[in-house]
Amino acid sequence: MSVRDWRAVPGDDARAEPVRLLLVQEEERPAVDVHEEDMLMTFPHLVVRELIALLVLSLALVVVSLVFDAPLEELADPRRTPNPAKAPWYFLGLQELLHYYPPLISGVILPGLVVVALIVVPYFDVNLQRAPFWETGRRRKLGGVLGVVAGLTALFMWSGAHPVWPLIGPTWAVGAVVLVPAVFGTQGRLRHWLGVRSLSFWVFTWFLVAAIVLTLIGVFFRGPGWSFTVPWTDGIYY
Amino acid sequence: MPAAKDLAQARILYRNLRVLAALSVVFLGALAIAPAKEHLT
Repeated sequence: MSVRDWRAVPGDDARAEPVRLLLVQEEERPAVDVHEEDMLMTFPHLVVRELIALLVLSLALVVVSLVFDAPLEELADPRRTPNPAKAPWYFLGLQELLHYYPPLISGVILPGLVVVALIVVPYFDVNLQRAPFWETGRRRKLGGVLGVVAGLTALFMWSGAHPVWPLIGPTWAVGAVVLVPAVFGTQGRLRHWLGVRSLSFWVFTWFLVAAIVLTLIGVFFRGPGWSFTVPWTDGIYY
Repeated sequence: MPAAKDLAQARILYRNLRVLAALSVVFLGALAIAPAKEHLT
């Protein structure tokens, strides 16, 4: 019997009829596998190992810098600017977004939202039990998934300077995979695995796939004037 | 008499400290050599 099931009834008198209550707090920690281990002090045992790792990494970098020269190009010339001018590869997803939205949205608001989300997520009750998404309310959630996919499609189709296919594509792909267990059942290992994933898993998968697609397109499929190029015929611009 | 577990940990720590000392020497040597790279090649 949990705390929520217990209730006082008029006429209950603890002095006349003592009742012992054993209250068991529900498990609300994230689902992690924990087992007791022997403990050591951080200093010196761990700090020494960290210093070793630091030195090994530094030495590796020194050796690499001694053996290989940095791939520098000729001196910059303001009369001949490179086209396309590409950021480092890890920024090319954001640069690809700049193709669709103004700098304030692509460069400030969207990355800012991601950072804010990462900061505030721990303060919300985010599905700590990691319940399978399709466990309950199948029909309602079916409509919900289709609605979210349609809504995001409309948003990315008409909100930018061009339809944002690098976001619409992942939205459709992840939406289709989410629907697989609900439409085709959960027979077989793969479909069972998909069926027991939680909502948070799918949200983060969407974010990850979208970020990877944006970056891949920025790295391999963009040429002069940020035009669409295909690497196997036009080569890779960097 | 310290427990066998503590002795084992102390030995690991001692070994790590020696590794750290050796690496520090190598690192300082690399720092000393790095600026002379032009003359090496």
